[in-house]
Amino acid sequence: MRDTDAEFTDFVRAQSPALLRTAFYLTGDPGLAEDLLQTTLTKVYLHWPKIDARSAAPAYARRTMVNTATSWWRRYAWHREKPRDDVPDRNGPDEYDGLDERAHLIATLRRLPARQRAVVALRFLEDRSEAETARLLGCTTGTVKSQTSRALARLRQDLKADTYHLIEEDR
Amino acid sequence: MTPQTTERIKQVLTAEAAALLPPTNLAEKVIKRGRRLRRVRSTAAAVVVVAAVATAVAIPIASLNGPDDQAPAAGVIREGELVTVNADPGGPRLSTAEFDKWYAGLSQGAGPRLPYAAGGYVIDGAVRVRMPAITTRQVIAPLGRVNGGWLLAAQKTGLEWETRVITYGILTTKGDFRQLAQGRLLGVVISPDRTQVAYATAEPRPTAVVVDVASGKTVASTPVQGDDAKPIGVRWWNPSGVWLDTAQGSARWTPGSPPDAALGRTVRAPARESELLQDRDGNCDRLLDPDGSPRIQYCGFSDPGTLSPKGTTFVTADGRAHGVYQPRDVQLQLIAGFSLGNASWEDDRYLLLSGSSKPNLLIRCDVTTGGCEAVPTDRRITHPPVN
Repeated sequence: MRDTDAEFTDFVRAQSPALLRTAFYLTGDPGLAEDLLQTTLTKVYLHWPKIDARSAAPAYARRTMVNTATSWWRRYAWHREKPRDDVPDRNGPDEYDGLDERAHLIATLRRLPARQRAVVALRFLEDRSEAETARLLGCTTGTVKSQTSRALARLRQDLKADTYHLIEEDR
Repeated sequence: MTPQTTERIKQVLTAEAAALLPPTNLAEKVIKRGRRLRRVRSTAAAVVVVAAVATAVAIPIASLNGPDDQAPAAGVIREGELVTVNADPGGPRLSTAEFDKWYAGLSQGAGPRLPYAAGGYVIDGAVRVRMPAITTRQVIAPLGRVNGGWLLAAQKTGLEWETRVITYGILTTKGDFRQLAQGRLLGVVISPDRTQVAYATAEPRPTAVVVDVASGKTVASTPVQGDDAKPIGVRWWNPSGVWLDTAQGSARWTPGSPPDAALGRTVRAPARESELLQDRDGNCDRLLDPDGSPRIQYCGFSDPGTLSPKGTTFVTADGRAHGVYQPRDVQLQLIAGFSLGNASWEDDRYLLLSGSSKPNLLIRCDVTTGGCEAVPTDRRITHPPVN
C-alpha cells in the first residue's frame, strides 16, 4: 500500500465514526448514511493527493458530504418517500412511548429540505458556529441565519401540529 | 422552538447516531473503488484525446469531479460477462391527500403472515404475546421466528458500542422470556431451519457462537479475527452457512469447522433459503455465487434492492421485480412513500412494505403481477414484520 493510501486509511479510521454520525444527521436513515459516507470518502480519496494540508481533510470531507447529500436529495427526492404532514394513529401512553417519540422526531427532521436539514445538523447537532456552518455549506452567514430560521419555523409547526405533545412548547 | 425542544431532538438523534458503526474495512473498500474510478477516468481521458468521442464517456466521468459530484452513473461499472440491468426510475409523486386516497382505494388483504411488534406485543397471525418490560432508553424488537417462539433483541441506546449492553433471548409463545446472551454483542442471525441462532461477542475475545434454541446450549463456536476499526460480527445465515464479518471481509463458517478464507470484502446473504450473496458497489446491487463470483447486477439505484427468500426475484429500488433465473420484469404498483427499506418477504411471491413516514400502513405486493393490497395491522406498530 502506498504511503498516501496509508495516510488515507488512518484518516478514515479516525474520522469515519464522526462522519457517519454527520451522515445520519443529514439523511435520517442508517442505510443511506452508510452509502453517503462511502460515496463521500471515495470522493475525498480521488482528491486526496491534492489536499495539501491533512488537517484540512476533515472539513473538506464534511463539505463534500453536505454537497453530496443535497445533490442526492435534489435528484432522488421525487423517487423516494413522500414527506407526510400527519402522524401514525396511536392509543394511550405506555412504555413504548420512547420508541414512538424517537421515530417521530427523526421523521420530523427528515421532512425538512436538504439544505435546512444540513443547517440544523451542523448548527444544533454538531454545535458549529454560524460562520463555520457557512464555510461548510459554501454560503454566507446570512443564508445560514435565514435557513436556520425557516428550518426552526418548520420544525415548530410540525411538532406543534402533531398529536403526540411529547415536547413542551412555548406557552 | 424552545431550548427543551432543541435539546430533545439533539438527544434523540445523538443517541441514534451513536449506535451506528462504520462498515468493516471501510478504507480498503473506498480505496479499491477510488482506484477503479481513477482507472476509468484515465481510460476515458485517453479515449477523448485519441478518438474524440467525448460525449458518451466523459459526461458520466466528469460528474465524478469535485465536491458536488455523484455516485457512479448507471453502466460505468462493467465486469466480465455480467448482465447489467440499468435503472429506469419512475413512479408518481403524490400529495398527502392523493396518497391517502391511493391507500384507501387499495383492496383489503389478509393480515401479515410474519411477526411484528406493536404496543408492546409480538403479533404473529392470531397470536399476541407480551414482550418483556423495557426501561427507558432501551429498544426491544423481534428479529424473527424460531422454533417455539421468536428471537428478541434488546439494547440500551445512546452509548458507544464499547459500553453498549445488548441482550438476545427467546420469547416463547407462552410468554416466557429466556435470555441467550448479554454483553458487548455484535449481531445475531437465525439458522434457515430456525432451530439455532448464531451471535458474535467481543468479550473476552472476538468469537462467533451458535446456540441451540430448544436447550439454550452452545453447540459451536469459533474465534474470529477483527480489527481496531470494526470488531467482528455475524451478519447472515443462509444454506451455505453462517456469514461472519471479519477484518478481511465476509467469511463463510460451517459450525463445527473453521471458517473459510474471507472473500476480501463485505457482502450480504440476504436470502434465508438461497445461497446467493448480495454486494453493493456504488449504485449497483450485485448478486454473487457463494464463492463471491458475480452473477448479475442491477445498477443506477441510490438505495439497495431486496432479494426474495429463495432467490428467484430481486426487487430494485424503483419497485421493479426482476426474475433472477427466468426473464421477468414486473413493475410493482407502488407510489412514493413506500420504500424497500423496511420490506419483508412473506414468501417468494409476496412482499410486505410499510410506509416510510407512516409505518403502521402496510401493503402487500405480488411480484408476479405487480398488484398491491392493503394489509390490516395493529396500528401501534413499533417494528415492521420480519422474515
